[in-house]
Amino acid sequence: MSSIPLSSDAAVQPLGPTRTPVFEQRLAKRYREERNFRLIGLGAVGFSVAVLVFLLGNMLINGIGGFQRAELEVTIDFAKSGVSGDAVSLSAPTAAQTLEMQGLPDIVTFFAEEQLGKNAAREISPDGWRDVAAALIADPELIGTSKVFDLPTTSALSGALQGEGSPEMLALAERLSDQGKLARNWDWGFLARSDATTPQSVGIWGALKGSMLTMLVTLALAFPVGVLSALYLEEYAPRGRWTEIIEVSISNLAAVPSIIFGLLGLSIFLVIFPDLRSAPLIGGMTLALMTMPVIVITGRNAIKAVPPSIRDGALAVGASPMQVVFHHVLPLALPGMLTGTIIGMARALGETAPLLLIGMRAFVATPPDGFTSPATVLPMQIFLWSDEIDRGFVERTSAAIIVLLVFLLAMNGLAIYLRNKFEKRW
Amino acid sequence: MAEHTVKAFDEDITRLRGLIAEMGGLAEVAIAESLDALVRGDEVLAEQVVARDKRIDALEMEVDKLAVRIIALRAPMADDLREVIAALKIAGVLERIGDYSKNIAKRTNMIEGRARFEPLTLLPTMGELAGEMVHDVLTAYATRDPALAREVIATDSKVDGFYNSIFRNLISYMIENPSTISSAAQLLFVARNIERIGDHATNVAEMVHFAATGVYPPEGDR
Amino acid sequence: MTVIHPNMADETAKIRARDVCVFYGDKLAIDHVSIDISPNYVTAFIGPSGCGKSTFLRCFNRMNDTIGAAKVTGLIELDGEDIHGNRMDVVQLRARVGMVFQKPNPFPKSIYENVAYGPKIHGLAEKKADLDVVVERSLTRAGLWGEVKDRLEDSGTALSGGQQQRLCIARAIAVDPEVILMDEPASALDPIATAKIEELINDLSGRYAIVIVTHSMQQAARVSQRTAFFHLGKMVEYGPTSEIFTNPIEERTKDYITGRYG
Repeated sequence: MSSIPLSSDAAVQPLGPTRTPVFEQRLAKRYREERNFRLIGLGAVGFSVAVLVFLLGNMLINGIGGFQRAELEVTIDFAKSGVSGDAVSLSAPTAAQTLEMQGLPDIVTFFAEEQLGKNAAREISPDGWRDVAAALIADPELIGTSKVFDLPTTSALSGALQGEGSPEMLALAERLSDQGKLARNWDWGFLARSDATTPQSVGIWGALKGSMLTMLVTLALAFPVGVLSALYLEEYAPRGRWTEIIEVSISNLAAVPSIIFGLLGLSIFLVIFPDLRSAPLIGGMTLALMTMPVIVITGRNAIKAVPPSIRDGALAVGASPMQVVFHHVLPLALPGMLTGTIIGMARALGETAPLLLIGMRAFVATPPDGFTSPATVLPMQIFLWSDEIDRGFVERTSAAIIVLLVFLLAMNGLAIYLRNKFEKRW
Repeated sequence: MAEHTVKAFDEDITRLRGLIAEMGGLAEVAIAESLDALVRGDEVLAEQVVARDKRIDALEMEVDKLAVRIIALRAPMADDLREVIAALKIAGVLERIGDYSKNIAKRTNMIEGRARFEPLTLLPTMGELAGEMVHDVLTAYATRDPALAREVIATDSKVDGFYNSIFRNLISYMIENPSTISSAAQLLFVARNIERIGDHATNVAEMVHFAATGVYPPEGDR
Repeated sequence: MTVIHPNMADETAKIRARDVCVFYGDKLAIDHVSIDISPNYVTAFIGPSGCGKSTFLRCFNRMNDTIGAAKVTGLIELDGEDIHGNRMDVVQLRARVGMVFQKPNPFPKSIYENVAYGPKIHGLAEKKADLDVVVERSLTRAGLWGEVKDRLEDSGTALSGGQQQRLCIARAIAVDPEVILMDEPASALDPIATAKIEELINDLSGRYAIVIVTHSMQQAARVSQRTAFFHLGKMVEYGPTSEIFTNPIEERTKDYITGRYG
């Protein structure tokens, strides 16, 4: 064996003493480079945060107004109105139509004219009577008493209250608000109502419920299929050409534009279930197709991250391959899989294009009853409202965006919570 | 034989062998010189032999220390282990051989009337034989030669034979010349010492054989 | 040519291997190895890195099956039964032939669950009371009971390295195996933990047949009664430990043991 030369090799200079001028220069340069790199990183992070703050701030500022509406105070004395009805008749599904036929809209107008004047009464929203009807249906005991209602106004009066509109409108708005009869109140009903023709009467609940139902279908279909596929590909599939082809195909599927899945839904699902256009079931199935590859990919990565020593340990104690997978690999891979699933679901929540193609863009005035009734989803609702002419819809659209963002935040929060709960250190 | 991967191990073994070789050389010289001094009555030489025995003792302690150190630090196995153990025992034996030579030298001034002492002439030959045994056995140790070790063991019977004849000689001499009994008795001890040296050399030869082959030489050789 | 020492007691072999070869793809990792493993002794496999001793050890519980590219030929019998035969269930085999790995790998569960897992899946104990008995017995035999009896619900991975390895041994013992295979069990541990493991092996050697792979010759010398020396995929020499380390027959064995290898 040759001996290793230790000292007195002419080509190598000794490194000491430490603080020579040459060394000081190099040191200063090194510190500079490191500080610059840190600053660049900080700048990048700062930029991202700034964009995020700008986006959220913009939405909040625009959307806060969407949670309010201008309302006129009208007292309605049902005893004098001549409206009849009781618990039985008012619980029928056609109760609202019955009340309409009894002339409820005119009764409302009558009381409004009496209390606020003809001009003001004209500015009550055409759907305003529906709020009164809803109250009656909810509490039939009201018939025989009188109650104060805050009825929604037209967009013109609403705009005048905020300082825009014709001089007559502005004057009317000022007079009424000075009297205390016109005010901008928090519209909690926004979160309970569904789509409508006037911006004052729209609500987000219909779309919210539709999104929830659709997400449930997506989850129920994509999660088991995705997880089981990931398990099979990682644990059981033999290494070979066919397995590689499948893996490549699934990876490519994750990159396919979402609108293609809409075409798929159109050509397959709607052919099989032609009556279920714009139902959460179809929407969910379409989105499940889109989400499944993401779950497979993250699932496979999570399974790959389980160290082979755990598997070896389980095998050595005499566990069968299935026991190894379900008792050891899956519990350890679950946090990663859950994260991947929720990320995929969050993406599906915000998708509009595929649902456009399968027809979930209809006007749906009531929240869906189940998975097979017509529904719409949050991004679709936003898209539809942004298309409307009435200026009142602008605020409502921003408010809907805020609801969507809150939903997304909740889903991500759930992901983080679940992951932390199930995380095990190995 | 290939070298150890850790060179320091080889250096330690080499040093151990060197110490044994030095001890062996000193022991050989001591045997020859002690008998020489005895036969010629050279008291100066006898004192030198006694003084040099201290060197042998010191070397034995060095061998002890080195052997213990090798066992602790190098964890020797197989033939390395046998060699170290053998070196330890050989050093002890060589030290005793040195003591016997010292003993012989001490008796130099107890012999009177040398010129007429016939048995005196037998002793150098016996001593030479014993000295050769020691020399050969150390060569066998250095070269790890089991065959040479077995030869040394075979030679011991000759030394024993010498002892028996010298013993009978001295006894009859003492009977015939009672006035020389004290000196003749000393010669008895000297002959006994040389015979013991031969036995010790045989012990060393057995250990050399064990170190080289892992087994002791067959009984019949003794 | 393998040299097998004479004078080894002629007992019935627990594991018998004949002409075993292991291929990784085209590469021959184990070259026609034959050996009888005794049920009464600790057998050590020694040899330089890459000589195949771990590969050969893994043949005994068919762990090489999990490596796709590995192919095993030849005959391996456990108590006279061919472990690659149709009638042998590999899951059952692995319960009868347990294994402890180089790096301690307790499950990320509680200490109790780690030990109870094996008996549960093999149906050896189902009621909590029975499992408690098995867990306590296994941990006691592994020399860990005193240290963990008050914290059985703590995670197995929260223990020190030496304790984790003893936990893995307890886990292997819990299914009542006949053979325990140990692949360099102490190489990741400090000297005190190593000594405890070696003492444990001494205690266990009466009840189980133990085969240990080690790259420390001193450990093989301390712990085993039989030693096999492997070199480049072949078994070079097999004999009683005391003879292998004081008077080996093969030159290659001697060179390796005395540190003259390489």
